[in-house]
Amino acid sequence: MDVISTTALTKRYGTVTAVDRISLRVGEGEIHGFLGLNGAGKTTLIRMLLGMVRPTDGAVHLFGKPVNKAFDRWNNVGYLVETPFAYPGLSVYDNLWVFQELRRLKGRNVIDAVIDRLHLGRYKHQKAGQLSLGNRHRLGLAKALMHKPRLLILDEPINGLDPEGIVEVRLLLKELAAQGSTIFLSSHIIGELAKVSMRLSIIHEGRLVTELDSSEIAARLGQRLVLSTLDNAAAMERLARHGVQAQLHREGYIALSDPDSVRHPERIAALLVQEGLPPTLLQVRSEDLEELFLRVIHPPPQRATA
Amino acid sequence: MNAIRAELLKLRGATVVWATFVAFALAPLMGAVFMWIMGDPEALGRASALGTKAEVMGITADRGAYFLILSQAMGIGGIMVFGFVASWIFGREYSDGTAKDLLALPTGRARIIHAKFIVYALWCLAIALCNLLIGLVISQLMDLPAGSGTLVRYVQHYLITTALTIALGTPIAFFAIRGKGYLAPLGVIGLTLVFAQVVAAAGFGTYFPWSMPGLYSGAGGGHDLAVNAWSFVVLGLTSVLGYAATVRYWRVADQG
Repeated sequence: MDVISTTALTKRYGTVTAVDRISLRVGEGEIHGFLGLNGAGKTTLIRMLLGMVRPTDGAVHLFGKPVNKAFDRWNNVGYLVETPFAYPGLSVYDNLWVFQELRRLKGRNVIDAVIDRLHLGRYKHQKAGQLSLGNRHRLGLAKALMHKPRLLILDEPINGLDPEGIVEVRLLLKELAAQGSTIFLSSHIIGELAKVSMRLSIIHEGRLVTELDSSEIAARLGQRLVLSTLDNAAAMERLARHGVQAQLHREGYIALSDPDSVRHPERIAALLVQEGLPPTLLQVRSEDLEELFLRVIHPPPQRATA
Repeated sequence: MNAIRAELLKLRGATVVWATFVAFALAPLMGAVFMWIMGDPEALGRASALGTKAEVMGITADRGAYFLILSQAMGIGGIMVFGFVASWIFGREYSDGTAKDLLALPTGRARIIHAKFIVYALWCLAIALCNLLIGLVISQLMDLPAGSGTLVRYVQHYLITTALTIALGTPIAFFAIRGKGYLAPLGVIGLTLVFAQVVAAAGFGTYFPWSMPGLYSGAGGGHDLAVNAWSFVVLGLTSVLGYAATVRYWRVADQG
């Protein structure tokens, strides 16, 4: 059964289309990364999943049930939307107590257990307004996790966290997924999403551009020949004269993407030596996720065929 | 009950709770000073402006006059203090950024709003009862003469004024959640206070909800002349509309 399913989900604000006919499926136990630039429509989609914003068109189902006023599975859903906030005058414990009441959770141990899990013990009686950003994040996650939800929806969960906090969240998400929880995770930080996601959706300007699972991601990462010489501008000119297409990267090196150059770097090296510009760097590199993402959201123009 | 407990928990350690009690407790203390001056011819002579005002209003130093002052403070000052309470309870969720945490929970959205209104009413009632208690103690300590009515009648008048004032908090709650914070409701309170004075001075206060508690309390010089059954109907309708609009907005509006 799909834990999350959306059908042609659309949200328009006046003439602006924030989310445009997105159809998604997230299966049980999956960590699904949702990647997009700031303003791509990630948060609007997440708010629609949680019933905070009504779709202009389309439908959302969680656990096979439509998300509407009658939806009664909210205790199976934990969420953290953008910056985690808490009642600043209440202690960490009291903040969690408020949500224990609102989630109607029984048992004295519920709060202490989640405090231990998120390493908040030292701050248990500290007012939330005095917590560091990282600990406020932990408190937000504690609120999302205290009822042991089957589905966790997290919007930018690592924003503002220090490296140690990022690793902690990553391990926590993997642990939760191993225990059978489904995690829907949005972020604009590609590397982090790639480290945890089993499946990745890319959204751009409100539209779902592509969906990839982890094996597809590796297959889609292209290769290119990266080189540098003592005079890259002159090297670009010589390569062009020999009909080799090259790009001068903003970081200063020359990149060649045509398969022939990637397969035979020695031919390019020989050509440059012959032109009196021996390479100081010559390496076949795999495209990284950032480059893949940029290529997906800004595809190069198709060449006209004769 | 869970939602009410959660709302009560949110008041823990909130300075604003005690601030409202202290601010409103000034009314019985100022009333006591007024009574002391009225009861002392020498002090009255020194405070000539106060003496003239008291003469115009026909106030004497007795228990009836003292409780009339308490009721008037409730009918006019209560609109401001209770309005502030409603602004805080409903607007804080936006100012603190916690509103979104209340929208996808097993406790329904309407229940959370009902609980907020219950806590609002309890908080305001507690302030009113606290002032009443302070008033009773002061009137006993000052040994004020009974006046023309009975104590039960004075307390009844005070409590009805309190109920009318509390009822006017519901539209303020609506402006707090519609304006997503404190600013809009506080602005509305300021405007209603100005309009309440202007409309009452123009002679239409009988049908203006925010003038009505003040007029009923006797601030217009005798409540039985200033209000009628329609005044209660208009105020009641305003309150019900405010309540319904708050619940509806919270349930159906996009919370972005």
